[in-house]
Amino acid sequence: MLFGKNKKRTFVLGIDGFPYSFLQDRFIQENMPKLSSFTKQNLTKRMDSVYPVVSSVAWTSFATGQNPAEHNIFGFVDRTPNPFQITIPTARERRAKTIWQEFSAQGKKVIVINVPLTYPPEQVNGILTSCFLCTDINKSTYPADFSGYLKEKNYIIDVDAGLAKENKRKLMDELFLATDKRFEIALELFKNKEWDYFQLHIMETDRLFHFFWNDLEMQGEYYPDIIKFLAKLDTHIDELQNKLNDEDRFIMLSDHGFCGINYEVQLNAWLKQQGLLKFTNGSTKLPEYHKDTVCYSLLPGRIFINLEGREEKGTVKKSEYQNIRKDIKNRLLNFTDPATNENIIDRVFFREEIYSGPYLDNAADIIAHPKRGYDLKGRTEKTDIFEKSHLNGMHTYDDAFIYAKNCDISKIKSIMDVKKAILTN
Amino acid sequence: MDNLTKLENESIFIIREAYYQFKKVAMLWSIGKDSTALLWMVRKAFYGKLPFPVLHIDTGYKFKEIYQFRDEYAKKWNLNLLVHKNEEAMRHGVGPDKQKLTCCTELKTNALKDAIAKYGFKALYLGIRRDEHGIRAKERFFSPRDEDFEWNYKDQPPELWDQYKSKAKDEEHLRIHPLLSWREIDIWEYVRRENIPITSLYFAKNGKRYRSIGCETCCNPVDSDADTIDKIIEELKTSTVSERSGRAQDKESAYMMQKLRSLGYM
Repeated sequence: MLFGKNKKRTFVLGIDGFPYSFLQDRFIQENMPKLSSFTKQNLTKRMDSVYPVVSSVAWTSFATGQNPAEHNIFGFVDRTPNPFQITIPTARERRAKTIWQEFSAQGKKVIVINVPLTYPPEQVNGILTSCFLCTDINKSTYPADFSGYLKEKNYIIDVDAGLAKENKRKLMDELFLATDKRFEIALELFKNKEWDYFQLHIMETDRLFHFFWNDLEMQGEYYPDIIKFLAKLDTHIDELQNKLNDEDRFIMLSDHGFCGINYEVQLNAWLKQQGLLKFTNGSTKLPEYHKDTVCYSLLPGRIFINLEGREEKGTVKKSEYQNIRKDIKNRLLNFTDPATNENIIDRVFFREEIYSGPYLDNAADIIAHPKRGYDLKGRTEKTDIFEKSHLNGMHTYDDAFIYAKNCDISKIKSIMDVKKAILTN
Repeated sequence: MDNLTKLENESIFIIREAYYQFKKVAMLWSIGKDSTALLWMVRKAFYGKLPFPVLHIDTGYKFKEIYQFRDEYAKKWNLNLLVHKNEEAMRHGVGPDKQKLTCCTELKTNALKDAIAKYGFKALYLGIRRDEHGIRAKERFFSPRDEDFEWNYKDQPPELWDQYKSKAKDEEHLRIHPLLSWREIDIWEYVRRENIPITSLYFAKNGKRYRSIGCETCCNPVDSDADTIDKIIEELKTSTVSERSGRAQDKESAYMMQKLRSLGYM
C-alpha cells in the first residue's frame, strides 16, 4: 500500500444516553431508518456503562479505556475530605491518557468536538473543543484562537437546561440548534482539515431524554418534536456516513441507556432519617455536617464514611470501617418504596469490588446502584425522601450501545473496552 | 532592612509611580484587611492627603460592621469616598439567593465596570496578593484589562528587574497591585506594627472568626479562638487551611455548579 494512501481513519460519533433497546425498537426503525439500516449491516451490540452511571465518568472511561480508580473521575461533583470542600472535577483531574492523546503522541491528527469532561481544553495534535462545563466560548478550544471559528459559526457549547422549568418550547428549539451546529462544524472540519481520529459528541440526546422522556413514552405535547429531532439526527448521521471512505473505521456509541423516573430519591434525606447523617444549628449544607455523622452521599448513590483521619470531621474509627460498610449495605438493600414495598437499591458495591487503581482512595466507600425508575440524588436540605421534579428520564447501566464498521467489537463488554478495540485493530 | 519595611517600600514606590503615570485613578476599598492596609500605605505615600478617590463597590449584602467601619474611617481619614452600586440589577431582584454567579457578575463586576465608565478612571489600585489564590499568582504589579474586562494572563509585560510597563492603551484600564508580594501573615504583622484599625469581624467570637471577608451571604467564618492580632498571627503560623476557604466558590466553579444544578446533577 502506498505511503499516506488508504490509511485507516477513525470516526467516533458519540450519541449520549441513546439506549440499545431503543435502537432495536420499531419506533426507531420507523423514525430513524438510516441509523437502523446501518446497525443491520454491521455489528451492533449492547454494552455496559460504568458505575456510577453518569456521562463524565462514562466518557472518561471510554477515552482512557480505564476504570475510575485509574482515571480519577468519579462523578460530576466530588469532595476533598480535609478540609471538606465540594469540588467539580474537570479534565484537570483526569489522570489517564485519552485516546486522542495517544493518537496525538503518534503524530496523528485529531479532531475532538464536545466530548464530556474535556474542559479545560488540552493540547492535542489538531483541534479540541470543550464540553458543556466550559464557562466561556473564548476559553473552549485548543488551539485557543480556534474559538473564533466557533463564534463565527454561532456555535453553542450547550443548551440552557434551566429552560426545562421555564420554557420547554425554547429548550426544544435549542436542542435542534445545538445538534445542527455540531454537525455543521464537524462536516466542515471533516472536509477542510486533515485528520486520523475524529470524535464528535452529541449531548442533546441525553438532554432530550432527561427532560422529554414522558412526552416520548406517553406521546405527550412534544412527541412530534421528538420524532422530528430524531429524524433530523438520522439525516445528519447519514450525511456523515456517506462522506466516509469505505476503509474508514466508523464507530457509533452511547454511554448509558435511559428509562423513566418513578421517583427521585434523596439519599441524604434517607441517611438523615436513618440517623447516619446529622446536622446541627439548623444548617443543612453538606460541609457543615455534624461530626457524629456516620456517612454522607454525593449524587448518584456514592456514600462516603465519615472516617477518622481522613475526613475533616471524621469520627468513625478505622477498626469499625468494615462493619459499618456492611451495616449500611444491609440497610440500603432493605430500603423500599413505601407505596409498593419494592426495593429501591438494586446493587451495593464496596469500592474495591468495582474499581482498582492508584486513585481508589478518592472513590466513595460504597456505591449504590438503584433499580430502574429510582433516580438517586444528593441534596442535603431535603426532608422528603421521595420527590418528583421536571426531570423525567434517568440513566441505566446495562443498555448502552456500540456500532462499528471496520473495527472488531465482538469482545467488547463495557464502554471501558472500546479504546483497546480501536487501538488494536 | 526588615521584611515589612522592604515590602512597604516596594508598595509605596508602586503607588507613587502609578499615580505619576495616570492621575485619573482610584483605589478600590473593600474595607477588608488587605485593602485597609493598602489604604494605610496610600495615605503614607501622599503624606495623609489622598490625591484620588476611594471607591467602594457596594453589593448591598455587606456586613453591617463593614458599613460602620467604612463610614467611620472615611470621615476620620478625610477620604473622598465614592460608593457605587448596580442599582438597576438590584431593582431587578438580582441577589445571592437566586444565582450566585449572576449575583457576583452583576453586583460586583458590572458595578465596577459602570463606575469606571462613569468616572473615567484609567487605573485602579487593588489590594490583591499573590498567595491568596492560584490565579492571582499569575498577576503582575501593573496588570492591563481590555475593554471587555478580559485579562490575558498569557500576554503580559514581563516586569523583570523591577521595570514596570505602566502605560495602558486608550481602551484599557490598568490594575495596580502594590500588595502582590505580601503574604497574609505579613499583612497581619504590618497591621500590628502600624496599629492599623481593622474591622472586628476578623477577631474570634464564640469560636469563629472571618479570615477573608466578602458579602455576608456568601462567606463563612472559620473555627478559631484568635481574638487578638497576636493570636491571629500565631494561628496563621500553624494553619493548613486556605485563606479563602470560607468564601463561596470561584466564578468558574460557581458557573459549573449552576449548570450542573440545572441538569439535576447537584
